[in-house]
Amino acid sequence: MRNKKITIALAGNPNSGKSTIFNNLTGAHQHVGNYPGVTVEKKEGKASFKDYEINVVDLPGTYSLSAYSEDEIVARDFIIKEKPDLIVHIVDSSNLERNLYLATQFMELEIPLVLAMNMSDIAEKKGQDMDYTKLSELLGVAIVPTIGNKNIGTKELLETITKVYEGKIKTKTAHISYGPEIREEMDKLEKIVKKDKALVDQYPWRWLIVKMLENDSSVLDIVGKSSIAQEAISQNEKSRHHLHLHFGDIPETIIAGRRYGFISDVCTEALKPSIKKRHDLSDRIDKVILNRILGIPIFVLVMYAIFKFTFTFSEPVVGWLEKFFEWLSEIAATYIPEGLFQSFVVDGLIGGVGGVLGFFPLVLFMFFAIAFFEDSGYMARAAFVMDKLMSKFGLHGKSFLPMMISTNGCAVPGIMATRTLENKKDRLITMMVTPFMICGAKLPIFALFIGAFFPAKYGANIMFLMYVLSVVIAFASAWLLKKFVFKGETAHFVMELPPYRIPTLKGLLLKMWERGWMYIRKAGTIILLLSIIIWAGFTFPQNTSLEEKGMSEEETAAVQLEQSYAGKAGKIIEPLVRPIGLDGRSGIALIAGIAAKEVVVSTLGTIYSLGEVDPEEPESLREKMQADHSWNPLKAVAFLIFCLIYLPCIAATAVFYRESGSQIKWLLFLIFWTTVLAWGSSFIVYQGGRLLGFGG
Amino acid sequence: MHKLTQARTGLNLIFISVEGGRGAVQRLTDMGLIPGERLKVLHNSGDGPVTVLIKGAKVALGHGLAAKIIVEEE
Repeated sequence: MRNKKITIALAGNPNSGKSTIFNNLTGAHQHVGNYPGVTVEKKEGKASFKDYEINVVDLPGTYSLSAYSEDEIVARDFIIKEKPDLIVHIVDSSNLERNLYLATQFMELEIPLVLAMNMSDIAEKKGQDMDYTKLSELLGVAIVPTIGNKNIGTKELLETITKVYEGKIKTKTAHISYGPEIREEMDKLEKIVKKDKALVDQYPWRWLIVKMLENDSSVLDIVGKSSIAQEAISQNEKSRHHLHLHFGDIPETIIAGRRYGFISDVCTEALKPSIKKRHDLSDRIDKVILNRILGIPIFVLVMYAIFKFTFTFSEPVVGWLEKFFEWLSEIAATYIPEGLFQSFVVDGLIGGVGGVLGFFPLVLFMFFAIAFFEDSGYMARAAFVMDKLMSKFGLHGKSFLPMMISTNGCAVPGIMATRTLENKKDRLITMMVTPFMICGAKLPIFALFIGAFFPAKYGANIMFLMYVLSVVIAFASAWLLKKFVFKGETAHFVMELPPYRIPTLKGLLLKMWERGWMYIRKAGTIILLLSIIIWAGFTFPQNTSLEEKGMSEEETAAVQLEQSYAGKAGKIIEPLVRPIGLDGRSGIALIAGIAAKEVVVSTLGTIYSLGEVDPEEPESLREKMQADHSWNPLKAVAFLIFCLIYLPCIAATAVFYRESGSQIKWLLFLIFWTTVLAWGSSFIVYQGGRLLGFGG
Repeated sequence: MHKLTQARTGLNLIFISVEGGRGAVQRLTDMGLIPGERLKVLHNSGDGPVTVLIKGAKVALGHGLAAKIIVEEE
């Protein structure tokens, strides 16, 4: 049997059930990547049918193919540049007219189109009686009814795809009639555009001229670089001006109106509408969830549920992993002779891999919980409920979740959770401020310092103030970032509220795995590499003469630490941390804290010659620090504020780098922003405190 | 003619125009909101976002955007 390979693109509106159809078509044979240079995910999978191997590319869900969002540009560039053999457009049949708007745009691209009329059961329940044959005739495209969540129609869809590809189903895509006035202007542009043979070989001419009239910036760029640039652009300006005068509205609105008009005509002919149910279950649920009094408590409850689910269920798994890596370390320590190589394997390699995998259960459980609320339709409402409050600070309603996941939790899944935000600017701002929250790893530092320098009765109050401070810093940063860095038109809050649905387990698991695997694939290697670099920084240069001088193991460790590259770096930055009340030793601890925040505590342990200090039980270290007169409560507060704000740990930084589109500029900005903010805040608190007579 | 933010819950309206940038117009167009289109206010608390029914789909509009949308009662 010959294996014929074809590539199809899967397109459709958000909430059209596209990913379910994708899963049905490809099963487990899928992989996720990114489109080059953008944060948009590229999902691909393989389907086998008869003697075909079908490569299915899942395009981002879009409402249109304009040039306004990254998703739309990606979807459209893929179709125009990669020229798939066929486009399968997943249509939510229960929301026909709006969904067909996208179809009218595909129809201009001159690539064979198949419409999968998904959720046909829901449409029927709504009382929609559809004549598919008629609809197919009117649109001039092949149509297959499907019910994605019941896996109905998958085989028929594959059958139709191959038949359309083979030419056994002949279709002639209908052209929308834009009316005589627009048609006249299109004719003028057509004559000009067709003079450039290379241009119309590469792009469908009809699509080019319609998009020109719609003032589409990227099409105007394409035409602007062609040989007929001047003539085409000046004709287009004349035509647009003429149409604007004639209709009294901008041509893009008129063209969109004609498309909707065409759809409306088609639907009237192919649909036999019966009695429509006015109030469905979704409406009743929305009355509660969108209620102005109940909305926010419900929202907080759901967010708390996600948080609780993530950390409660992942805890035992994280525990097993920790035990496993401890066991592995012991094995390595037994079989590898003591020395540099053992240290590399145990502390560098196993420690690094353990660090990467330690986050994995968290990420998986969180994405499962998020997927549940996304697929059920709640997340869209959540954004809506919080939008009023969050938008005051330049954040999005959905920014709340990453910040919540990070508080007492972890910024790594927190940053990953920004994937639920569609707008790039909102995502970047949220990613930048999420690490400011007090994550679980920062807690031991706070416990140590508060325990050492403040009476027990104030402990809880100071901790509470630190939480308040973290929220204030995060929101103030978001506001500043929006005002000065991510300026421009705020993303208008327009969001479809899909009907509530019961998610399928398969869908949830696939979504969880796909996003979780992204963490390992994209951030895992970077985290491992950086862990090893940090290990090397603390291990070299080796000083073997120490033990001979009769020093104890703990003292040796302290001297070794101070003489290592990282220790020397701590000394070098001493003049920089002196104005915020710290010395070289705190400097070393802060540098070590970049590996992981709780390492600040264990490093201080080493500095105070205590050997290994368990961050969870630092009594001995607390006493040592209390006895050290170079510390005082004011310095402790300055140190804590610095810890609260400065550079996130390497795992969070690596995830940030990957999730922000792997652009050095955002990474540098994060480093600069967090460092300056941390130093400035500590400086104000420390120097201000001194002026007021606290400390000494 | 008045702003969408002033429309009571349950009202049937006709979309007239939006005083927004190109991006806002485009987003609304994609959702099916073109001049002359019918919409129904599903939920409007007056000072928050507004949910409307456009072409059978529920759409939430931020307060800022809803304040720029001019509608007419049907």
